[in-house]
Formats: sequence, structure tokens, C-alpha cells
Amino acid sequence: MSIQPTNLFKRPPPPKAPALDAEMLVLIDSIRTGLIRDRHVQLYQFGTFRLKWGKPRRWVNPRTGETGMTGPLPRVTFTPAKHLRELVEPAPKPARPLDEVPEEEIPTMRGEPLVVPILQPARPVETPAETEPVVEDMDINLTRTESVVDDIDTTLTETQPAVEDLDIAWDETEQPVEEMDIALDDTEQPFEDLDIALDDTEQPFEDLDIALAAAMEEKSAKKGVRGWQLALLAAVPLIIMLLQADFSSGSKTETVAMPQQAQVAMVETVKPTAQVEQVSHISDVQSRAQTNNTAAEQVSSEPAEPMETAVVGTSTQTVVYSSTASTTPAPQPEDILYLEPRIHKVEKGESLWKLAGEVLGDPYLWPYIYRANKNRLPDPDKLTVGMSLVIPGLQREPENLTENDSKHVAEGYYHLYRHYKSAQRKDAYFYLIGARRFNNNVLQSHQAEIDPADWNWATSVRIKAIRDTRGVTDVAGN
Amino acid sequence: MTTTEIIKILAGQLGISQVAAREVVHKKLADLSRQIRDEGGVALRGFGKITVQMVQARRNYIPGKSKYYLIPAHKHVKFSSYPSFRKRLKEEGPEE
Repeated sequence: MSIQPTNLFKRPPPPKAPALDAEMLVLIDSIRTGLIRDRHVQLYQFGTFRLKWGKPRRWVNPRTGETGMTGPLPRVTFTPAKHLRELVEPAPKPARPLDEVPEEEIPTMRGEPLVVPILQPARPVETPAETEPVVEDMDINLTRTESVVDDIDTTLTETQPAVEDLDIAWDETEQPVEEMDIALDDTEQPFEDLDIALDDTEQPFEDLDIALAAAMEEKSAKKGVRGWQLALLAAVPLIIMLLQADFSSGSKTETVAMPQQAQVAMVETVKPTAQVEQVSHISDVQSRAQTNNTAAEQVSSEPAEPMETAVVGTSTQTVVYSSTASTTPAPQPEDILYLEPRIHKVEKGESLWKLAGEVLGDPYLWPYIYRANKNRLPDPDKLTVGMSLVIPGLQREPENLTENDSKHVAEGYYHLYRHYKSAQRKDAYFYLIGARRFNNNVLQSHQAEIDPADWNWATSVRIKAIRDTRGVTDVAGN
Repeated sequence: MTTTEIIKILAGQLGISQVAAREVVHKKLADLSRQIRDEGGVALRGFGKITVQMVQARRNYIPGKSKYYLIPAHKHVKFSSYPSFRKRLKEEGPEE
């Protein structure tokens, strides 16, 4: 047999499995059969074979663009039994927490940066024989410096007498200091003169205040501020005080004394808003106030006089305020608005049912929204994102609707019946039950327009279940 | 399927008693285990081969203990089926 050169670079074929005896053949065949039948073969003290099927996948040939589907692919796994594992590896090392493992044994994971130890530069080796002589030289230098220190001490002792001379010189200079104090006493007189001079200057400061006031007036005149506006500004705190007192006291009236100019300003400013105030005739009020020491509360309790806005120019005027809140009737329960009407912009995922549940508080009221938007909604089941819908208001909470609201809801249900009936939906009659549930009169008013079969069905069905869940009275009496 | 059922099949096909078939099965499985340990694997014609592989040491996070553990290097017994057996399985198809 000649060896071809190309065969040298080919991998040798794997050795063929040895021929099995009849017993082993039957054993393997039974394992294969068991896998196909049960997908699971468990062999005692050996292991478990399992058959799993992968999901079908789509494949694409990138070269040709051809596509196809691969069927579910089989996958056979084997889990060795404990006996076999112990046979293969008698003493496996247990897993240890990473904290207890020395760093040398920790393996480097894939993708982890390799930690390279930083090598320290080698230090130059110092030979002790070379350093010792240097120390000795230092000792010699130290002995030399000691002699220099001695010389310094001698120089210090020589300088001490000079310091004593300095003390003597200080004693000699004390005399001149006393003379300086005398000189200071001489200078006190001029300071007193300065105080007198300051007293003289106080007068000009008062003049400055007057000048400042004059300058402010001039400035205001330049800006075009009128005298009555200045008075108005001056009266603002008084107005605020009066208003607060009036609101806090409700129907009480108060008597306030104020400068004439301020009263004029107040009447001018308060009159346009006249919800609260009515100025009565001042002389009348004054006369009543004189006869009755308890002033304004009792005055206001008397019948109303013809009101005037004019103000008499006396030094102390009286202004009477009476609140109109006492004359307005108390709000009736029917006028309480539970929910104000509003405009809602439809967002993605919203429906009339959802809107009614979120905004009105009851999803069964969604025909009420449909009734309000009937002209702009061709199909109540299809809302366009971004469209504006009118959400009608409710007088009361949805569990306790008023007669008017329930009538509107019932009409909404009837409109839905008409819509779905024209669209030939089979469950259109269902909406008649809703109309009957909310307001039976609405249903009866449209009896001529309702299909007789639907009418019979809607009026014959008991709505007890719905009534029980919502607590609505059955208008049909069922 | 368990060893007991295989013993019954073997006893039926070879025409021997179940006791004898049990001994045969245990002997064959023990031979296979020994061969796997000594030779590092065994090839079963028409079925697949069982080999022993070395798994490198690795770090593993144990969520139950909230700790990283060092899994030391160990041996792993692996089975890979032959294409002929996979082809037969495909022909049979998965049972619904």
C-alpha cells in the first residue's frame, strides 16, 4: 500500500466502536426504545438518559437568501448517577467561598483584565564599611562645633551689660511720657468744642427731613401722581382692615373713623366691587350712633336705608358696610355640582368605557359621554387618538344620579341602541335594558321607534342582578 | 423506563429468567462504568458515546448564599448521541 502525500495531512479516521455482544445489543436497543417511548431511561447506579426536543427554528442562507424551517431537533442528555461520578472521580474537591481561597488559586475568568504585578526597582546595596567612617567624621565635626558654641556663650555674657544700659535709658524716657499725658489733657478741650459743633449741626438735619419731604412731593408731581392717588395709597391699609373685618364678621357692619380724604378714596375704590359694601347716608348713621352707644352692629340690623355713595366732608366720617351674603339664599342640594363638564383629549388605549370609569366614576355611564359627542363619533367603539371629547358634568355622584342625569344616561343608551340596530348588530337590544335601568320613561317615550321584538325582550327581562350590584331602584317595578 | 423494565425486555428477548437478566444488566453496566473510568469513555454503536471531560476551575456566584464560590477543576461525564440515532429519532418525531 502506497502512502499518498495528501493523506499525510489528513486526520486519521476515528476508531470504530468495538463489536457488541448480543446482550449489550439488546440492552442498547431497549434503551433506545425507552427513550423514544418515554423520553426517559433511568439505569440503576449508572445514570439517566433524557430525550428533549428543541423548538423549530427559521433558517436563512445568507449567500442565496433562501429561507426555511428546521423541524424540532432531538437532543439526548445523560446525567451520571452518584455511583458513576464517584467511580470516575473518587475524591472531588469541594467548592469553597472565594474569600477563603488564596489569590494564587483564583482562576482568571474570560474577559477579566490580567493583573500584572508591578516589579519594584532594586535598591542599591549599601555596604556598612563605607558608612562608618562618615559617622566618625561627623563626631569630629560635632566636637568642632562645641567650641564655637562656647564662643557664642561668651559673646552673650558680653552683651548683657548693654541690656542693663537699655533699662537705664528707659527710666530716663519716663519723664517725657508724663509730659505727653499733659499734652493730651490739653487736647480735650478741642473735643468738647467738637460736641458743641455736632449739636449745632442737628438743626440742619431737621431741615433735611423737611427738604426730603419736599423733594418726594416734587418727584411725585413730576411722575404725575395726583393728590387723590396719594390719599388712596394712604388708605390702602385701612381698606384692607375694613374688608377683613367685614368678611370675618359675615353680616355684621362696622363703624370706622377715618380721615376725609381716605374715605373718598375708599368709596371710589370699593364701589365698583360692590358685592360687599353699601354706604349709607352718613348723617343718618351718625344720628343713630349717637342715640345708640353700641354703634354699628345694631345699626345694621335696622331696615336698609336708601344707599348713597357720596361722602360728607367732616373730619370724622362713618362708613357702614353690610355683606350681601346674608341676602343670598342657601345653596340647594340640586345645585351641588359633583363633576364639572370638561374637554378630554383621547390618548392611546382609551375607550368610552374606560373614560367613564376614570372620569365619571362608573364605566356604565359611557353612553352618557357618547350622547354628548354623538355628532363627532361615527362609531362609539372607535376613538381617534388626539380627538377632543366632551365629558358631561354630573350633579351628584354616580351612585345617586339626579333625575336629569339619569334621563341623559338613558337617552345615551337609547342612541346606542339606534346606532347598533342600524349597524345590524344582534345584541343591540341589550342597550334598551340600560335605558330602562336608568330611566324607564325615556324608553317608553321611544316605544314607537323600537322594534317590537326588542321591546318585548327589554321589558320582559328582569334586571334584578344589575340593580343589586349598583343599588339602583328598578323603575319597572320588577 | 427503568432498569426493571429493561430487565423484563432483556429476559423476553434472550429467553432467560428475569433473575439471570438482572445479573446480565448489572454486569454490563458495571463493565461500562469501569471502562468509562479506565479508558475515559465508551462508544456504543448505533447509540452514542460516553466520555469523561475535564472542567476547568471557575468562579460561580451562589445567590442563596450571596457569595462567590470557587468551583475547583473536576471531571464531567458527557454523552453525545450518534447522527444515526438522531436521524432515527427525527423519523419517529416528537410525541404530542
